[in-house]
Amino acid sequence: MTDTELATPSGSKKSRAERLSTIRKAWPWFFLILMVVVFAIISKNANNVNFLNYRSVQGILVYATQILLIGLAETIIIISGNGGIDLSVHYSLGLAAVVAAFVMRAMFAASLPPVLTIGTGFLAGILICIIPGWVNGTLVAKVKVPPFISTLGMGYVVYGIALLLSRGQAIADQPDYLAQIGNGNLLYYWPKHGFTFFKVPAGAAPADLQQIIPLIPNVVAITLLVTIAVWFILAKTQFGQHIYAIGGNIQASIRSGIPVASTLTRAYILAAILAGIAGVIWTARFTSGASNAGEPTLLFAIAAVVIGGTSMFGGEGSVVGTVIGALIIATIQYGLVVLGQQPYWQYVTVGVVVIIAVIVDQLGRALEHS
Amino acid sequence: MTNLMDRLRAMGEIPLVKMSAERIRRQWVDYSFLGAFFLLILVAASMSDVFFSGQNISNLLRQIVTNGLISLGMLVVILTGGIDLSVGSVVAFSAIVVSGMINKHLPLPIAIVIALSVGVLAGAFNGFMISRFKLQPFIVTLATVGTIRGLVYVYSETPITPLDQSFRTIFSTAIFGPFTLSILIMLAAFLVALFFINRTTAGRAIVAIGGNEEAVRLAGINVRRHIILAYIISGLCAALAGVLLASRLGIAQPSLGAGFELDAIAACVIGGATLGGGGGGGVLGTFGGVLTLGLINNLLNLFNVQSYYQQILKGVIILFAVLARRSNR
Repeated sequence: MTDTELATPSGSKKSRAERLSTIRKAWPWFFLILMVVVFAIISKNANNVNFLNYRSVQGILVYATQILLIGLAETIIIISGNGGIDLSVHYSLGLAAVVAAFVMRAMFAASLPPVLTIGTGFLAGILICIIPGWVNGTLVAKVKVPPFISTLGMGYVVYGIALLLSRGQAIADQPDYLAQIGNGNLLYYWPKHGFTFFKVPAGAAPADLQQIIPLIPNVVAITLLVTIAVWFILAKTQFGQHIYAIGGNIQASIRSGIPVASTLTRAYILAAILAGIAGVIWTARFTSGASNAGEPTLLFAIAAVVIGGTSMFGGEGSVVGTVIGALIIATIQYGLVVLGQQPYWQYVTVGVVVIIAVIVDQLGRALEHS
Repeated sequence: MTNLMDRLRAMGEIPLVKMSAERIRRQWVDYSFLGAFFLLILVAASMSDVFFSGQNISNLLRQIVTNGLISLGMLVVILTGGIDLSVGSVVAFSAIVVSGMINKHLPLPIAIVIALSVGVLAGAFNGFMISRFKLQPFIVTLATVGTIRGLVYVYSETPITPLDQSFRTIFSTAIFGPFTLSILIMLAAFLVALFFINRTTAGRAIVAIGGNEEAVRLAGINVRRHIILAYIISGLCAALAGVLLASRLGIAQPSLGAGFELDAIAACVIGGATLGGGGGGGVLGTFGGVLTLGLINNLLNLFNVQSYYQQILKGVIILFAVLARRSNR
């Protein structure tokens, strides 16, 4: 295949650009594999810990959920272009966590049925985020305030409201079955006994628990479903294609009759809803709600988006890229934890990786156009 | 022809008639902000008898020193069309370095110079990456937020208390009236910036880069060097703020300064700066923005309003300021 391409002189320049483009798009995959191999070797040699097992995979996936959900929100907004960025989603996450925790605590105290309690709590947390999303969208799309400023201002407001609601405290006293959702698994495998859904096998004695392999963490399954939904929306629906078009060229979009304002508003609402989902997942995982739940996530999420190859200039980017980006960040986080490093090394490493990623991206683009 | 006019207008060389309506509107907004500001002071003074006390004025001014200096550096970067998110981490870095150096018994001036050079280095790195590789300022400085914060923790995981008492007293002793050395340093910085931006070639070039980078390049000005200079100024201002903050608090926490960049951006925006280039914003406006934010914090503290409301109010003021200054293009 390569030989024939090289043989035709007219096609050789194009194929070089195409190859470079392929390499540029594939490098996050290589980088992810590289990170895993590096951590496997270091942890084997330094701590004699086996990094390559299902526990690591699970750990990385669970770490990745929150980064991925906020990352998807940023992906949508950044693709919509024109300086698109949402600096309030991590605060919306905190607001959702606080509201969900409030509702569930109240309903649990009133001893209402578990399904109703969880359902209402989650729904309340997610739906409340529509408000900041709608305000952001309206400010950006209708009032034409730059996204950076409008979401910065909204971020302050949302954080203030979450603080006010929670009085700066973590909202504990959550239903005991909440942890089962947040930290439980979809599927358990007990060697020689078979699979069970949602619960540890009934007949297992405490000594047997060591053998039971938890297979798919619930939060990972939920995140996966949400990710597929976002992929579908961006890639397969008119709304998603409009977001790409607006990010690519807003003037052309207006002239070709795309409802720019309403599309942008809906994009910001969708981003806020994703933050809300991340928030209720946080509440389920830590069985409490806190206004600062999303605090460190924004840096990591934007890092994931950038590493995943989404252009900060808009119109270009993919859900798959952000998934890989989130996995790379989560691998770094989890790997450093396994190696027993202090959390701040995560910031250093992620910062360096982001800079490398943007330089590689920039050089790749320059080579393609040369 | 129109292209050339655009370029020159962007460089602020030709005041066009077309601009005047917009300019008048902007001035109206400025005046109404000024009016609202004095109204706020009047209301404050009438409702609280301690507001005009020397102690409160001194507190207010000392509290705005940090945000004032950071905002000043941020303004210079915003004028080039960029943004510097790493200032909060630089504040922590310089605060902890100056405290560490003092505890290593280095003379005070040398410790301060080392801390300031840390800020210069961070700024130079940001500026180099942004101008050399044509990377987005938002991404580069977001990455250095984490990297510098990490380095702060590498330097010290625990808070450092500068043991030299003179480090604390030198900046906080009143020189005349409510003015301490730290306040005078901030005011001097604003005066220097006023002169730098309006009266020097480098300052004018930095403003022009934000308007039209390509035109500045064609005019034979070294754009890359001026962008690096802008980020160095921002790093230096943040480092100076870190030194003064360590002196005021008497302790340097490695977690210091988180979110400071947002307050600085807020002050610049309230002062009329436009993010992502396009002009607007000046030293006096930024000072107004800093004072407004400081005044609101001060008032809410005086009236014992919970700090949660400060967040909400800050957000609303930012949105209001942007809405008022929005051009009708």
